[in-house]
Amino acid sequence: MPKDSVVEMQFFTSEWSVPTSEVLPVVFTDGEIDRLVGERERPITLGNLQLELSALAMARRWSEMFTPRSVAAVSAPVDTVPSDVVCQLESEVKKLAAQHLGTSAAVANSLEDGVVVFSVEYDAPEPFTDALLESLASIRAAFVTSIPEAHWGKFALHTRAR
Amino acid sequence: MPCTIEQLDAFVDVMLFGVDKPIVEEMKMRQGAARMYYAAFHTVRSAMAKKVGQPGYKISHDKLIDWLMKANSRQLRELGALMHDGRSVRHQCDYDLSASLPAHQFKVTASELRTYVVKKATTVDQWVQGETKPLPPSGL
Repeated sequence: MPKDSVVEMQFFTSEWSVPTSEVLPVVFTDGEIDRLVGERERPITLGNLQLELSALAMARRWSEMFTPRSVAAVSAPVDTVPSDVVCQLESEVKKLAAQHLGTSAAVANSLEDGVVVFSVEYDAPEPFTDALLESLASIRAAFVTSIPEAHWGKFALHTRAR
Repeated sequence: MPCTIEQLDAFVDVMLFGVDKPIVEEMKMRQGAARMYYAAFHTVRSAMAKKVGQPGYKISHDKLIDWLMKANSRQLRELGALMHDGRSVRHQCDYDLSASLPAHQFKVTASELRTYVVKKATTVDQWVQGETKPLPPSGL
C-alpha cells in the first residue's frame, strides 16, 4: 500500500442528530498503515485491513464531531474487537461454509453498527431442501460456540443464497 | 429482484380491497419474509414479556437481538444470530426497493425463522424463562 493512502469513506450521521451524510477523503499516514499491517504474527487480510481502517477513520471523524463521552460510547464496540479474533472467526466461518455449503461458498466481513458481520454467499438448490436449513443451522450453532465470551454480541453471521 | 412503488400499491389493492389484479411474485416474497421476521420477533418478545410479568413489555428490535446475542444460554445466542440475519433480510424487503435478492433467499430466510423460532415457540419460551442474564427494562 502506498504511503499516505487516501480512502474515501461515507459517514452516516443521522442517528446522531447531525443531518448529514457525506463522503470524505481520509488520509492514512505511513505510520498508521505500518501499525495496522505490521506488528502481527499473521498477515492481515484485505477484509480485515478495510475493517480496521474503517474503525480508525470513524474514530477520527467522530472525535471531530462529538464530545469525548460520545466518542467513547461509539468507538467502544470497534476498539474491543481485536483483529486476531476477527481473523480467527473468519477462518472458522470459511471452514464451516466449505464443510456445509461447498467450496464455492464465499465469506466476506463488514462492520455494521459496531458488529462485525460475516456474510456467507452460497449456491442454493432451487427448490431448497430441509437439508439446506439443517446445514445453515449447523453453521450458526458452531459459529456461536466459537465466539469467545468476551465478544458475545459483537459478531453476526448472515447467509445469502446466490 | 428490485420492486416499485406501483407494485407495492397493487399488492395493497389485492390484499386489502380485494381488487382483482396481478401482483408480482417479488411482492409476495418480500412481504412473506418480512412478516415471518415479525412473527419471530413477537414470539421472542412474548416470552420476554412473560418472564418479566409485563404483558405490555416493549423492546426495540436492536435491544431484543442484542440481548439474545449476549445471553448465557447458547440456544438463545443461536437464536440471536438467526434474528440478526432475519432482520437484515427484512430491512431489504421493506426499505431497499432496489435490492436484488434471489427469490429462494426470501424462502430460505422465512423457513429458517418459522422452523427455528415460530414453530418452536414453546421451546423458545423455556429458554427465555431459564436465562440468567437480566432482561432490559421495558422501553424502546
